Amino acid sequence: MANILVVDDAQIIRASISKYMEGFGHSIIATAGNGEEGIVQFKEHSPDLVLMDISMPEVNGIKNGIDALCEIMKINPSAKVVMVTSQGEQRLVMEAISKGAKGYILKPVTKEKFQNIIEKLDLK
Amino acid sequence: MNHFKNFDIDFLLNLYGDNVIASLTDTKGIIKYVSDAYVEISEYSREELIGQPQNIVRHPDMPSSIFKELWETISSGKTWKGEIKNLKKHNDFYWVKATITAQRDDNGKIIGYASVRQDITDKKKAIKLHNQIQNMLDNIEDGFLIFDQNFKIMESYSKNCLNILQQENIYNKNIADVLFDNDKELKETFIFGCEQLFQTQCTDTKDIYLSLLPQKHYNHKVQYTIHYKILSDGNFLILLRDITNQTELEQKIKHEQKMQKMCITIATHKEESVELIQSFITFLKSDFQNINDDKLKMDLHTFKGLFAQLEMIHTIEAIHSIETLIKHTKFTHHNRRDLKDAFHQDIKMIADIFGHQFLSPITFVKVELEHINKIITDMQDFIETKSDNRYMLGEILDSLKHMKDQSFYNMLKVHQISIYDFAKKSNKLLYPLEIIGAKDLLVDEKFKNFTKSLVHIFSNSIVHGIEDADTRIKFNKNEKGKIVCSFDSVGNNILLKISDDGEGIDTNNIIAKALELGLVEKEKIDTLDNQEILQFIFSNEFSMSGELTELSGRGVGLASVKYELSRLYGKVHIENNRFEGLSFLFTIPYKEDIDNDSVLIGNAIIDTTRNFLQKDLNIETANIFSMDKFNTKNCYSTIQLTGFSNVVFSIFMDDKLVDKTLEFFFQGEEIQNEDKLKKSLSAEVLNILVGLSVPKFPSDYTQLTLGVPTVLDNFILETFIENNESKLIRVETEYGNLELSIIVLEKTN
Repeated sequence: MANILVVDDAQIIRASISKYMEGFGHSIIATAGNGEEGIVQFKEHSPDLVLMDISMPEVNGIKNGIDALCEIMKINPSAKVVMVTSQGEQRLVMEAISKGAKGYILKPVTKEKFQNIIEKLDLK
Repeated sequence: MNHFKNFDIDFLLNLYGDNVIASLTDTKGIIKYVSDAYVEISEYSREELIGQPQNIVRHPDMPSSIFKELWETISSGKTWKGEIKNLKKHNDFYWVKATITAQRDDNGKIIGYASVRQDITDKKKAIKLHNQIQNMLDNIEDGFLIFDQNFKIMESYSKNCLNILQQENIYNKNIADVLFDNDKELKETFIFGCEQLFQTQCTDTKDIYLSLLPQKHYNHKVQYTIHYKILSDGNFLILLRDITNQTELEQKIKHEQKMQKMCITIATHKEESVELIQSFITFLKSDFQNINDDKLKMDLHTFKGLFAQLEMIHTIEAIHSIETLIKHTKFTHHNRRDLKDAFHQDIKMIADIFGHQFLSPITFVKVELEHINKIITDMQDFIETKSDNRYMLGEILDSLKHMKDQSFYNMLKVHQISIYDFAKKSNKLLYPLEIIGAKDLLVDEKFKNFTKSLVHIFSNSIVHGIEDADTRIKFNKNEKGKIVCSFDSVGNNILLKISDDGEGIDTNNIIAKALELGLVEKEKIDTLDNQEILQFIFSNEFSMSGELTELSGRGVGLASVKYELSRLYGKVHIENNRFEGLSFLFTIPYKEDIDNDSVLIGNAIIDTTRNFLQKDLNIETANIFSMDKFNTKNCYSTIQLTGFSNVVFSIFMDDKLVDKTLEFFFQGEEIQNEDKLKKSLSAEVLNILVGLSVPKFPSDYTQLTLGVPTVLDNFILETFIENNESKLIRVETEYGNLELSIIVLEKTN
């Protein structure tokens, strides 16, 4: 069972991601509504996996999910961060991958997409 | 050759003989000498060759014309060069590049021919193989090409690349330019992705980048998919597939299906469809001059919602694009023609299938026999008494008018289709619309504009209220949402309740939006009660969604509901239960008095007032509705119409509105005696409004004389209102309110 941090500005997405992940037997250790909060939660909980929305409103200089990702990678270079993204954000995702993200999930989020990511990242 | 020693020459000859296919013949072509290399490649022994004609190795594939030319050249003493396919002893072949030249004696006479040949069999085979592969690739529909890490396209690409990419030649060109010339963003994404791919070693990461590269594109002519493959040498293979036809076909099929759906919907809802189409025809004939007119925008938006129900795709798309143009103030009369064309395209489709008669206006109504009998009795009474009783005639006329009344239930039923459709388009799960109420409750035709506008209530419920299935489950709700529409008649009113079980409205969002739109000042927020805040959603341009979709989000939807409601003198109350649902409670008068004189006069006054405020004063009229009670604190100016009937009108205007009106009257000139003017101004406005409205009054009232405006004691006014047929109207504007009353005094029979 993995401890997961969900960072997304949409409450509905946070709720549905949490539901899916719990369905797979993982536990949602914390959720955050913006990048800055995400970094704080990461420091506090050291989750096994971070699901991070790629575009979120700017808070305290953290422009989007990529900025938050970079901060998290500084804290723990082997952190597992997966980006949650929409169609048309391919360029941003590439940037995130180059900055150390382990993969991405394209919205709309589905059970199958999570299953793929879980298998790929070998989360137990 | 003099400087070579003999052994040098022997040595060189041996070396040469091992590697060069050489031979000497006499003038007739009989072989005199062959080198070791010749022996080896031809598979004959030297003994088998010497004394034989040179054509022992001639291959049947070689045309005789070549040899004719060869002999002509060398026999004339010139050197011949060319490529020849030769036959080996055991039927295999070899290719040589040959140079043949004449051998002369000391007198210059030709005594034979010497030839040296180079084995080019491998090259020939490679070329042949290459041609075969190229031919194969060129005959495949897909385009193949390879590019290197400098983004340069390599030489071997299949011919179809040129067709797909619409290029003359792509060799050595930059792949990003060729693939995405017109799309800077895709180009950047592509280049960034490839650069990452060149750098990374990890195959998993490579796969992620590959999945993020642009997979589809279209230039001005061809739509194509792009597949990528990294080759073992680090170069990229690209496979292009032309999907233009496929996409066109898919679209054509989709289009056909939509058309079929439209026809089925129209056939099953003939009455509503025909009526809607007829009213749109009238609308199209109307003047589009003032395209910024809110009423026009609302009408367009309502029509879009209604046509969406009927699946009239061309019309919906055309209205949608016109709305977008208006939003960006790019509307021209050319666009109006587009709308007409699109509409006629749909109409033609319907007429082609059902015949032209199908769409003619409906001119018959169902009438209860009882009603006809009543009228007959009334008429007989009227004739028998031979009286000149206009009042009785009026009653008979009333009964006749009511024959056109229609079932309120049926008016609402139209929305059952739209609900289904909205739900599907916004990916929500929904039970069918439930309508609870008496099917035989008959209302005036006028209700149709209102019931039509309810489409906005439904679309708002579905788009913004009902959550998606996942969220609903999460919050322990049934995964399917439900909208219930119930009505009943209570006294003279119809009570209509439309409820959904969605997430309700976050009033904080409404407040934020209202502040943003300047509908309310920040200081005043605290003085508003919950209902007043909720009512903001009926304001013009108010929309909770940031996006424009074909379904909702124009910000005029709910405003048009309120507008149509005000025309019926109805009221609406909103019940908001956060996370549980939203209900709209409408109270609409529907019996007798809807047609009474004060209402008819009131309608005329409202129309004039709206025009006066909007066109002359340039003030947005936000809301117009009827009031229950008169505000006795205000000071009213009154005016009386006298004649066959007496009508008293009164007006009250907020200070800011008075200022604004003064500005209009004086057009920037200096105002003297401002205070005095202000007092008489509302009387002046009332005079204008009534004067302009008289021609639109019921015929009994058009011959009346307009009295002198006076300020009437409020107590008297109130007594008048209580004891006579009256109508109280409130107009809310950005500069405060304007209140009007219309009191019809006893008719002087």
